[in-house]
Amino acid sequence: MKIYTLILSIILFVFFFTSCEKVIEFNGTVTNPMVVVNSIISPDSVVKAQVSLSRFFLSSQDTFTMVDNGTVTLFVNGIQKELLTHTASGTYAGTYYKPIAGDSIRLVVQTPGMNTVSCGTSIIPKTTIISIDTMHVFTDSTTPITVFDSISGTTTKIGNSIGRNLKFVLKFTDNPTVQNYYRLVVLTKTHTSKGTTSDYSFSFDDIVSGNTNKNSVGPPTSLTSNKFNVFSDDLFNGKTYPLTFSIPDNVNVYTIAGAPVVIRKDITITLQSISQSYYLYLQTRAAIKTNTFFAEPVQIYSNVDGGMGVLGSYTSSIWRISVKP
Amino acid sequence: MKKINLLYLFLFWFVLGSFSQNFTISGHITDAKNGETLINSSLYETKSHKGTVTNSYGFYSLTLPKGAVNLMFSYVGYAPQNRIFKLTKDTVVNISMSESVELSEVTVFANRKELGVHGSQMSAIDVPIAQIKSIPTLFGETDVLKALQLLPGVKAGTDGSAGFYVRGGGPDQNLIMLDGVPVYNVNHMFGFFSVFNADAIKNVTLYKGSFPAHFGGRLSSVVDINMNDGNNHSYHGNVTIGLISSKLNIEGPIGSDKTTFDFSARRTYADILAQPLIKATLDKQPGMQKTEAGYYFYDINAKLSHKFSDTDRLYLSIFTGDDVIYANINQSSTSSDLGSQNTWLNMNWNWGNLLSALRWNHIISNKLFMNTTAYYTKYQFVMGIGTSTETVTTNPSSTTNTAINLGFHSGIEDFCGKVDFDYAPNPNNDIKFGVDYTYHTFRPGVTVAQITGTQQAMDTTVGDQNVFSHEAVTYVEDNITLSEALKANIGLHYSTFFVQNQFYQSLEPRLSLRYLLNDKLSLKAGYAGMSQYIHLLSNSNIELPTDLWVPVTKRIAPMRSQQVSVGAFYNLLNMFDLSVEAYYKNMDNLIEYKDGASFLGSSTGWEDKVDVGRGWAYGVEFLAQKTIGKTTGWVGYTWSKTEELFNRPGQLLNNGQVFPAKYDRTHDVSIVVSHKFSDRFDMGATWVYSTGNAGTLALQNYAGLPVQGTNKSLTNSLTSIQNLTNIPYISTRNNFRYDSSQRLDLGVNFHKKLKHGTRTWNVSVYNAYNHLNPFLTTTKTVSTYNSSTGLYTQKNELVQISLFPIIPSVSYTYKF
Repeated sequence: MKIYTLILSIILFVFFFTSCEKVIEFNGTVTNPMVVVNSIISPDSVVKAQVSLSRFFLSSQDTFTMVDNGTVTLFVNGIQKELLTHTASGTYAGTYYKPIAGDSIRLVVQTPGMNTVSCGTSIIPKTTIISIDTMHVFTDSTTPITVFDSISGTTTKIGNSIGRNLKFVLKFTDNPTVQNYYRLVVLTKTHTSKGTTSDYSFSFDDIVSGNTNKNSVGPPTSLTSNKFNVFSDDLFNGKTYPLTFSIPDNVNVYTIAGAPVVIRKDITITLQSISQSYYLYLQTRAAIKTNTFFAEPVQIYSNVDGGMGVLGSYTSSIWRISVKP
Repeated sequence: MKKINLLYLFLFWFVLGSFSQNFTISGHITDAKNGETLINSSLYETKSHKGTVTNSYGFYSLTLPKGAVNLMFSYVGYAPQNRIFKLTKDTVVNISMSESVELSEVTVFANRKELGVHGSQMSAIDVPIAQIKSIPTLFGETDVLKALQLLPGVKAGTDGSAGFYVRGGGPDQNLIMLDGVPVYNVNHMFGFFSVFNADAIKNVTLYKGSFPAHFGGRLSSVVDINMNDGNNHSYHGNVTIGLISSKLNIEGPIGSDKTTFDFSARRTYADILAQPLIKATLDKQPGMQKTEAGYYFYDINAKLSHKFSDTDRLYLSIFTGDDVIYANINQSSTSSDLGSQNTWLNMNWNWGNLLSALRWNHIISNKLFMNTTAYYTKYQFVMGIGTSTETVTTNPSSTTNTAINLGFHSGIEDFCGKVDFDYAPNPNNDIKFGVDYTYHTFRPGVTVAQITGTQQAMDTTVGDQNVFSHEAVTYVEDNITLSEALKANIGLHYSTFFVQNQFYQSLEPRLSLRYLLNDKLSLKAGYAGMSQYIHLLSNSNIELPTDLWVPVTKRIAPMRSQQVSVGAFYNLLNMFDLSVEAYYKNMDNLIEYKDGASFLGSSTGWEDKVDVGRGWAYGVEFLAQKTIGKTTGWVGYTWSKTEELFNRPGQLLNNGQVFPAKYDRTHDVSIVVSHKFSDRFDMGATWVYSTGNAGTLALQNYAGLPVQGTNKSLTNSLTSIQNLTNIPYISTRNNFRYDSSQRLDLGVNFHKKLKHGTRTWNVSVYNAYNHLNPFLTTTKTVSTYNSSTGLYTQKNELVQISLFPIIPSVSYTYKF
């Protein structure tokens, strides 16, 4: 990416060293704030929603207005279930109803002085992880581990990091009767001999379709194309699918005493079955490239009628693995 | 049944015309002054009211009944000639036309007859190079493509850019040909200048619709540019020194008048002028040994032609041009403890075209003309960046060399062979037919990385493999005179494209009709189906060297369009050509980039970054041209709409709703005026106005939902994720209108005859009243410190970036 950054910098310089910049009046229609509803719900938990107001893009307001005097009504399968209770700034929560798979959920939000808005989703049945197989794969690369002494300005090698990936094959069976959407969440907690821990989350640019950067792994960045690891069943509808992915799990060999040796890695793998609305929302969120000048603008998915935001749902199937070096 | 009847009628007409006692008059029409063939020159037989025009090689063929004929030869700006004789056999009449003594001072521009009231062709405009040269331009650089932008139906891209959009089509839907060879990259300096040096060009014709069947391969337009053949009488040339570039043109005979050459070259010299400044700035750095850096572009046109006989001619055309960015920097440092270190930085980016064409004209008979062409065309982008370091230590004594080199190259390359025939069997039919085959090589981009002298040595090549494809085309068209009032051009264009085991084909009917209401007024209608098998991947407002041509694939089918147009053409007082045309065009299998997609320098997985949909464009174009007199020019106005719909499953854009195309602009006005005060002084002025482009702007922001699992935790916190909490809300794609654009350009020429030639001083002003036209509109957050509260407040502002304020320029030309 450094090449492209350099290309961009030079091109931008060429163009803008002669350019003129001026603040202009907005000649379009100044739009009024709209009601924003955000809620991601899952079984075994009461329904929560966050209600706020959008702001005009030239507004001098630097925070969002949370709606604390709204009425949020929960409908389940077309029947009014309960009024959500205001629990914190802009936040509303149910008291007793916990969604179950197959339920059709609808939220109707009334805010004084604003249009009534509504949104709906359904609770997706859980997809059970059948099995997860793991395998270590060495990558034939060795990177020196160094420490830099800022006082003396010297760099000292203290060991080698031997390249190794931990490969997973996660099997699950897709429901053939409907279009399904999934999300994979992989979190690790690394424990060292000195009692310290470090957490990582991972994104996989190409998780199913085999299109780009098959081996790309690492923490999600603004340039990652599939930041939230979502995928659909287009290529394996109704089949038992072996989802294959890898995370780096290097072996560090130290040549000095007292280095913080890794003693254990706890890995949590979550396969979420997500609603179409949540899938589209995450897809469009991931499409935003915050630092690429030439990228197309992104329309963030919204399923709130008369307002903006998203009501989505997920159910999780979780596996936990502990790996020692 | 109706179709069969029409076919019989057509055959009857053809046979009737062919078997009357007719003889053929044929020949070439040339300029008496320099021997250049005159393209689209008219001839007209006054008794039979039959006529034709010369083809791209100045050849004509007209078959007439036996008997007395009165032939009128005319070409605008030239004294008309007539030949009266009795036609008793096939006859060759070569005509040399001289510039009109009466009109030469005042006539600089006119539309060709074939495109005006009498011709069957519509939606096409000739822009003579003399007119193009009189239009004032940015930095005084005469620009063929920017002249086309001033015509109705053609929209300029961003301010100052040479890119153009024809009747709702994108820039990659324009087929731009130089001597019949496609030019893939038509821009210098990121699109602000075109690669066509006006000194080397004889003729430019733009087709916006009703395409003749011999053209194909793009949806929206054909720009047919012909280079000068060269003077066959004596040596001539000119030298121009401008603000940013200098140009040279020289032409003449080689040996005899049978062989001619024309050579033109142009180079910018901003890099040379800026070198002292760059050196002065960089040399202040300690240890700086060598500092060279800059940017320039150049282009070279060369053409050789040889006349073997009256029936055989050979043409060799060569064009090459590059943009170059370079930097060579050497810095050294010495330390008594550490020894010495030498560092070199070398950067070289180079992108441009190379094309060559060999064409053989052969007159098989006076009714049948053949042209055989073999050509090669290539666009490539090559980038190299490297650093190397030599470290020499004395204690202990050692020398270490490290180097990092990075290279990238991409492009497209074509080999093509084609044969075209012009056949005039009888007075009523003028038939063209031909075949061509093109072998395309698409180079989608390869990166080479080499690191030596370090522990992490590397020698890696990453990129997609070349893609090869075969394109074959055949066509036939007949320009038929059905009656004195009714004329038609009927054609079929059949193309095939084979790439990566995928075969596509397309049969495209073409039709143009002209109905002459009287000698001054005609009505025309046209239909054209077009297909396009290649795409240009680019998603910026400017032309970048990294833009990539890619072929259609199994998933991305060829783009197709159908266009109907109707119009009325009127000639007023033999001085003004007035026309109004209305068109409707639908386009299928268009591609648009998905939300968030970027193609910067990589075609990898490009199919996943685009959606496929359809679009349509419609509009009305008015053109009023004054073609004769001291004052010439035109007024053009276009009212148009262009919309797109991407609602196929999995290919949704804008939630599957209709949205305006990026370059949908309702109103475009252009006024172009040239006035010749005397032999020593003339001036030109251009004024343009257009509705703002459509752009996408988030008019609301809202608090987005934090996404669990991305912040190293599965908890569904309500705290925000940095940079993504503030979500921009875009109601629809291209929901915002940039401010309208307008600009006045002025230019004056002062001529003086010197002993061996003529010198011309040109002074021009681009954007004379300094109207800041939008290049980009975006938002900016401004923080203000409030001293009373001790807090910073933030405010968003709408900011418009403009590239070109008022820019004066001057150039000097010596013509000999």
